[in-house]
Amino acid sequence: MRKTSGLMFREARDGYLFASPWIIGFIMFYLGPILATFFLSFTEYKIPLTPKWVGLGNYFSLFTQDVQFKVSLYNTVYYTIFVVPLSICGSLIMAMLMNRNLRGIAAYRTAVYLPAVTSGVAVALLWMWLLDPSIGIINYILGKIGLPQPLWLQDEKWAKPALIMMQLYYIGGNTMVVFLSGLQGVPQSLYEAAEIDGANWWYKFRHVTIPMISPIILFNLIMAVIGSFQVFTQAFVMTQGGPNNSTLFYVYYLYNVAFWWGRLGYAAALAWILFVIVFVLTIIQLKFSGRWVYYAG
Amino acid sequence: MKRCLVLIGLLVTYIFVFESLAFGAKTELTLWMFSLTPETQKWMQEELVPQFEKKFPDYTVRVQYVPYEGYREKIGTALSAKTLPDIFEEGTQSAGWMASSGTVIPVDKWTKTWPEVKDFYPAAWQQPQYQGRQWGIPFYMHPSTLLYWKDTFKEVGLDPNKPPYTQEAYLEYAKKLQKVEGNRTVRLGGWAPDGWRALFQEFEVVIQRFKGKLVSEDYTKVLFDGEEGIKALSYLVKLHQTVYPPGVAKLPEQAPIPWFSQKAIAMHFRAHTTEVKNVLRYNPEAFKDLGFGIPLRAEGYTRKVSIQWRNSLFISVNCKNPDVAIEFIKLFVSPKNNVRYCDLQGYVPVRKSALSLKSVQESPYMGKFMTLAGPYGHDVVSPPSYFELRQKAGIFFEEATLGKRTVKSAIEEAAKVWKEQLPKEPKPVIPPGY
Repeated sequence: MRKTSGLMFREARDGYLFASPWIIGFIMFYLGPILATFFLSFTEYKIPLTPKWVGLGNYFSLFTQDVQFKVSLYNTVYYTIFVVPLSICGSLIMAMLMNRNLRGIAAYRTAVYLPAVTSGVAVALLWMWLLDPSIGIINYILGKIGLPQPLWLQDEKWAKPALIMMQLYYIGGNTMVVFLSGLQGVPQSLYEAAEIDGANWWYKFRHVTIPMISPIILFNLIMAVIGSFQVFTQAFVMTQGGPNNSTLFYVYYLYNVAFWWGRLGYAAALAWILFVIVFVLTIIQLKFSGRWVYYAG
Repeated sequence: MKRCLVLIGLLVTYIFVFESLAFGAKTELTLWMFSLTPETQKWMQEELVPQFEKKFPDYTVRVQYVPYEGYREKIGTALSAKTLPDIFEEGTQSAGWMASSGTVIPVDKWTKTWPEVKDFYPAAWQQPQYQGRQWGIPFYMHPSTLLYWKDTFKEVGLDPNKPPYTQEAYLEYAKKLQKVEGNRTVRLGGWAPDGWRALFQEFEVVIQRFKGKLVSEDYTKVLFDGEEGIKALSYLVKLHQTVYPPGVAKLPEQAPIPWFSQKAIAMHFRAHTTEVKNVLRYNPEAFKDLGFGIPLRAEGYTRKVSIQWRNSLFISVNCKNPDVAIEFIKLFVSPKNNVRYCDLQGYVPVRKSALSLKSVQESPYMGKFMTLAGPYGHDVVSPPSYFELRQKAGIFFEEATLGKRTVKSAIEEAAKVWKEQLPKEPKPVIPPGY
C-alpha cells in the first residue's frame, strides 16, 4: 500500500515538475491580467484616466443599449454555426484521405498542411484576390459554369458566407493532423473483424472509425468552437467589419472598443461575456459527450 | 572586521567611480515616432539628431521608431502606465484625448512668444488645439486636393482644362466619367467615400463647405443635426449611390499598381501627395496627363475645404526638461528640416516659408500641394472620444448610403450618440505651472 502511494506521489511530483514552466508562466503572465480584467469589467476605465467603479453598468449597457454588441455576437454565432461543422467534416475527410497507404503520402500530407503554416494576413490578402467580384478566380469559374456571381466581400449578404467559405482553406491544418493521429491509432484488427462480418465501407466508418476517434472529434469540436468565437484576422485585414457591420465579429469589436475607443473597462466586460459563452458551450459539449464519445479501455 | 572594512572600502570606491561617470553622462531625450521609412530614420540619426546634439552638447536624443500598426496600443499602454517618452507623435484627432489624459503639457507657454508661429499654415497649427489651448506642434501635413486625368476628360467630351470647382459639378462629371461593363466598374468616375469611417471623415469636411460645424467651440453643443448636416449627408449619399450603384462590383480592393495611377479612377477629390508619387513611380509617362484642381466648395458657398491629415509632436508630463524638448521640436520643424522630413516621407511641410526653398520648387508636387491645398485643410474636431463617436455615427451614415435609412434619420441618430457622450467627456487636465 505504502509502495503504491509513494509511486503515486513521485508520479504526481514529476507531473507537476513537467507542467511547472506552464504553471509558472500562467501565474506570472496570465492570472494577474485575468483577475485585473474581471475587476476592470466593473469600472469605466478610459485610457489613461483612473478606473471608476460602475458596478454592473458595463454589462447593463452591453445588453440593453449596445447595438454593435448584438450585431457582433450575431455575426460570430452565425459564423460558428457554419464554420465548425465545415471545419470538422472537412478536416476529417482530409485526414481519411491522408491516412491512405499511397506512394508519396508524406509529400501529400506536407502539401495539405502548408496553409496552416502560412501567415494569416497573407492568406487573407490572397483570399481578397480570389473573392474579388471583378477579377477573382472564384467568380470567373462561377461565370464559366453559368452560376450567379455574387459581390462577396462588397455585399453585406455575401460577406459572411465568403469568410466561411475561406475557412475551407484550413481544413488541412492542425485539426486534420489531430484526426490523422487518431485514425492511425484505430486498431486494424477492428476493421478486419468488421470485414469478416461483411461490413462495407460505410459501416466500418460509422461503427468502427467514428466511435474509436470520438474523443478526438470531441477535442476538435471544442477547439473549433473556441477558435471560431475568436475569429479576428479576416475582419481586421479583409473587411474592417464591413460592409454595413456584416463582418463585425465579436473579438474585432472588442479590439476596437479597447484600442480605438480606449474603453478598457467596457472591453473587459466584453471579454468576460465571451469567456462565459465559450465556457458554457464547452460545458454543454462535455456534458453531452457521454452520449456519443467512446473511450476505449 | 578587516573583511568588513575592505567591503566598505570597495563600496565607497564603486560609488565614487560610478558617480563620476554618471556626472559626465549626457541627459537623454526620448522620442517616439511612427511609420518612418528607413531613409527617414537614417536622416534623423545621421543629420537631425547630431544637429541637436551640437546645439545641446549635454543632451542626447534616443529615437524609437514604432510601426503604425502597433502605435496606438503602445501609446495607450504608455498612457496608462505613465511611461510616455519625453516627446511623441500623435495623429489628427488626438488633441482632445491627449489634453484630457493628464499626461501631456500644453505648449502655449513657449509658442505664445514664438514669432515663427505665423509661418505655419493656420490649418496645420489649429490641429493640436483643444479647448483654447495649444497641446502640440504640428510637423507635417498631408493635404488633399482634386486630381484628375486630362485625357480621360477629353475622351468623354469634358474640357481638360476645366476641372470641377464645386462638389455638385464633381458629381455631374463623375456620372459622365464612370464606366461600367456588365456588372463591374471598369473606371470610377470620381472617388467617393465608402464605409462608415470615410463617410464620417468626409461629412466633417462637406458640412464645413456649407458653413456648418460638428460641435460648438467649447464642445458642449452638437451642431450637425441642422440644415447644413442634412445637406452634407444628402450630397454624400447621392455621390455614393452614383459611383457605387447597387449590384455593381467596385474596383478591386487590392491592386499591384494603385488604381488612380492606372487611370482607373478618373477624378479624385481626396487626392494626397501619395497619388502623385504613385503616378511618378508606376506610370511616369502619364504625368503629363495629370490635372491639378483646387479643393471643392459647395454650390452657392465660398469656402473651399478638403480633408487634411496633420500630425503633431506632444511633450509628456514625464519630460524632465520641457525647455529642451521644445527646442528639439523647434529644430525639427525648422523650414529646412521640415522640408527634408516631408520629402523623405512624402508629406507636405507645415511652414509657408518652405515654399521659397529650392527643393520645394523643384519637387513635382510639394509646392503644388502647399499652394493648392495647404491653406484649405478642414477644421479638426477632436473630442476625447472622437474615434468611438465617429464609428457609432458613421454606421448610421453607411446605412443611409445603402438606402436602409433616410438621411434625416441617420443625422438624428448620429446626433443622439454625440449628444449623449459630449457632456460625459473628460475636461482637459492642465498640469500645475502651465
